[in-house]
Amino acid sequence: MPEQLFFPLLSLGVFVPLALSFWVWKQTDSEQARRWTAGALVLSFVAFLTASLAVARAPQARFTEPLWDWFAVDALNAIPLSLFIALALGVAVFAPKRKLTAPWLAGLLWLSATTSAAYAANNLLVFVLGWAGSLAPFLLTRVFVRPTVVGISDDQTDDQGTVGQRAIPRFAQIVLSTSLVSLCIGVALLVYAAPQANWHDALSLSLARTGDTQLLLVAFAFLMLAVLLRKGIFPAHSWVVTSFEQGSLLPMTLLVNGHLGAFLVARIVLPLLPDVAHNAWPLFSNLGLFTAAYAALLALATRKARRLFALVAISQSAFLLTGLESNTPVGIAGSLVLWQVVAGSTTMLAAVYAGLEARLGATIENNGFLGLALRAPRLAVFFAAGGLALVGLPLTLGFPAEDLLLQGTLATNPVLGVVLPMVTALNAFSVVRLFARLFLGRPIAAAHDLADVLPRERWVLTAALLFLLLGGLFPAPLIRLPALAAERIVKLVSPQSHTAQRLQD
Amino acid sequence: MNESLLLSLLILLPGGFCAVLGFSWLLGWQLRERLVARLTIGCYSAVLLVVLALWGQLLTSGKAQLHAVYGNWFEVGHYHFPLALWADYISLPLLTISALLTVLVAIFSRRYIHRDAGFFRFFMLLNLFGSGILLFFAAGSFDLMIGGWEVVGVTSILLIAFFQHRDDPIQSALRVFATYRACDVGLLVGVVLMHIFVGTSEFTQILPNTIEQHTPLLGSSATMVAFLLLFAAMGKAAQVPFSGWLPRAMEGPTPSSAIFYGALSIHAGAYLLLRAQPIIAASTWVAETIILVGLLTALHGTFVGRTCPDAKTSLAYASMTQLGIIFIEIGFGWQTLALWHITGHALIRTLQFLRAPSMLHDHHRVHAAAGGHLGATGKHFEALLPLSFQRWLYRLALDRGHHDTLLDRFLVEPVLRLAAGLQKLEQKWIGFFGGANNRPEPPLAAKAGLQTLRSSLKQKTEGADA
Repeated sequence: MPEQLFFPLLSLGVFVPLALSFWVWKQTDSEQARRWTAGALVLSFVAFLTASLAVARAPQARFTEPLWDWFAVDALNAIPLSLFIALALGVAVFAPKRKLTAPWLAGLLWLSATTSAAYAANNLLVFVLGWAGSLAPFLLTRVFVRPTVVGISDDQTDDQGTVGQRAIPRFAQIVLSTSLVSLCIGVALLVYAAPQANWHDALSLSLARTGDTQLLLVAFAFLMLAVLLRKGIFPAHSWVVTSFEQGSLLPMTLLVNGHLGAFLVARIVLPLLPDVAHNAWPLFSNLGLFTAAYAALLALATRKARRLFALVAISQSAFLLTGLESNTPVGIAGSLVLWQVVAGSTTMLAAVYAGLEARLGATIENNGFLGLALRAPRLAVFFAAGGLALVGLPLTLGFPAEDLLLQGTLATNPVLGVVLPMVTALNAFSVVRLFARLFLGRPIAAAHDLADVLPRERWVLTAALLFLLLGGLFPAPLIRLPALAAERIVKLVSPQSHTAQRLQD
Repeated sequence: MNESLLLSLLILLPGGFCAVLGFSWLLGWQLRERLVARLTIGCYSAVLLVVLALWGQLLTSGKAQLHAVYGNWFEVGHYHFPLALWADYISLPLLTISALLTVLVAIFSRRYIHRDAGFFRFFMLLNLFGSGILLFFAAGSFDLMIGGWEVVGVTSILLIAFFQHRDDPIQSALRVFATYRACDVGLLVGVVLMHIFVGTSEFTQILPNTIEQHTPLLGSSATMVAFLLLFAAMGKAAQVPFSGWLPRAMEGPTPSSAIFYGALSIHAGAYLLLRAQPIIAASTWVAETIILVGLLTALHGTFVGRTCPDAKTSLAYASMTQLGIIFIEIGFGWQTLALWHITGHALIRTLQFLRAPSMLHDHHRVHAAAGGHLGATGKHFEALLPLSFQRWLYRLALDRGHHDTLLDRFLVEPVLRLAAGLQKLEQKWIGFFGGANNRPEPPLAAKAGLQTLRSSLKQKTEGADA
């Protein structure tokens, strides 16, 4: 029986940014809009953090709200909820002034609200709405359109063309739309296959799915297709690359860092379809690993900074799927912790990079060394720390995440355990190469006027750095809830567990 | 003071100081050169006192080692990461020279790097390195060793790229980093295998307390783990065929070369093998491989060192030769001799590196004191070899054993070619769906803006060049 929160904190956290996104849209002063956005996100963050603390006090419990049960918080979604809003808040505060418009900030609020709604969803319908809502600013509006794309390399600029009228390229739009359609079909089949006639029960996330095996298999196939497309698993990874290259970097990073594909696996696919998932594990696990290796290899041959950044992000986040499907508490917990690391560090890297682009007024075409550390040493340090955390440097949260992931996967599949550190090594090299290209070398002319980190940016980046460093030095609090969630998932998925459930039914 | 507190101070003092220094800078506080140097010297002098106190504890207690467990760093289910520190007759000599040499190098660098734009960066990295190497030597489990090992690797490449305005140091740093990361895979997988085979990587469980006891890792499991640890050690200790990074690492400032490649970092691989000696002893095959690798490295180092035109690279190859001999000693199981060798070599090599900038002056002074020009040594050995063989050996040494060429041709280039091929396929694939290749032309207004921006940036570039 779920426990109840003392206040509808989750609804507050979701609906405040959602409602304010309309208000912010109409603002004419972008700085005023930034203040409204930051205020809404602070309120949302406090609400989610309070809910997460309630979970931390009773980690085995699942908390719903006093008035309605649309939303729930437990060990699985407590940290992602707070983390995502914190990242969105960081982005809102950090966003360079020259790129800032009220609609951009409204889009950010909308993205935050809908993604957190999907995390907090207590039924399938809310989850689908959250998933669809998070795509809306990219598919239906032009709030995140990047007007011009100019390239700057070591000594020259180059016209790279424009993205045109879309927030993300057509290819990415096709992929994301397909993922949404797949999710809808998968969920519809799940509901149809549910033995209960009651809609409320059929939409429940805790309903054991038994019955027509063929139908459940098809539902599973559609759900996994949605996961693969949304997460950017090979061969659908290219949408992430092109969107990072041509889209607005900060919102794109937030969209990818929502990791709703991984969340769909952990929250819905594994618990609701344990039989099918158990049999299909090796396929998706190996696909995740292949994507990680493939993206890491591509990154070696890439010179464009945005593309390189996208490939490293894809490669590292593909491990999430591998860990989730390791079927061990250690591997799944590693995957959930890696989620925090990838989200925190890639957002930090994207923020620094976006800051550099705004200062230079151009996209950085990474052909030679730019020497930006001459004038922006602190930005260089933040970038290096974020990048090294992403690839599991000790003393950062990345290290425990990689360690758990490695322990979990090597125990069940030795090949995965061996390939994983090799791929991480390749990614580490790519990150250091990107750092060297951006910050080291003889400074280009534009670097001489470059401003180092601004006070507004400094506090955001320091907070992100503290999260990654303190998380690395004292990881236990950040691992405790994912570990419990992992143990619960493994119990649900283990053959003994669902055989017993079936016998009960 | 009890051993638990002393061992924790060993890590907390430098780590805490490094964190304070780093965050104060990030938040905008500028510390003066003299203050930074004095605080560093003070911090590592305090660490040296702690190490001396640990020596006192160890000698008076009659124990084989001092050991403290501070609980688990993190745990999930049955898996836990123990936070254990350890000091014994293998680690304490290295902890002593680590603290001592860091103090000495800090004193030296205070004047050597004086008024350099990277003064604070150098001291920050020196502190980070100090924390990492102390963690590595004081770790009570192989898990924790990874922490120190990786920190040492990262600070190493950042110091190689210290003179960041030139391209060569940066390229060298990238090369070193690639070698380090490739070999680190051995350590990571080796330690995970320990967990799978034995359930832990703590020294108390893995290493026998007495000579009669055996490590629980036996047979093929011991061979596998030992081989992986050897692979990691070969990378860090610049053993053949991974030796190509060492001369490149000489791009960094001399004090960092002294402490990294003369003294501490270069011996980290040897220490890892010393620590894993019981596991190596359980696998004859790996012990023989260590001897072979050591022998080849010693020969490679001594031949190539003779063809090096500059002092620092010659010293690097001299270090490599000694490391090869140390590996041979470890392979034969001569643990004590290897430990003495490491300690003595670290001290003398640091001195040589720190004297390298004034070597020419020393050279003239020695020759003047001898009353004339001293001839080259080793002629009597050369006479034993046929001239054709000498020439072949010279060419081989001049190209540093062709190691980098071979690695590039058979490993790096195929991987890069594969990556480039995949990249082309990727572009076609994206283009097919209307991605990157189908971008619309920019509107006229935007084009005009682009032209303006381009010309202004070009002007700036030309201005800077002028």
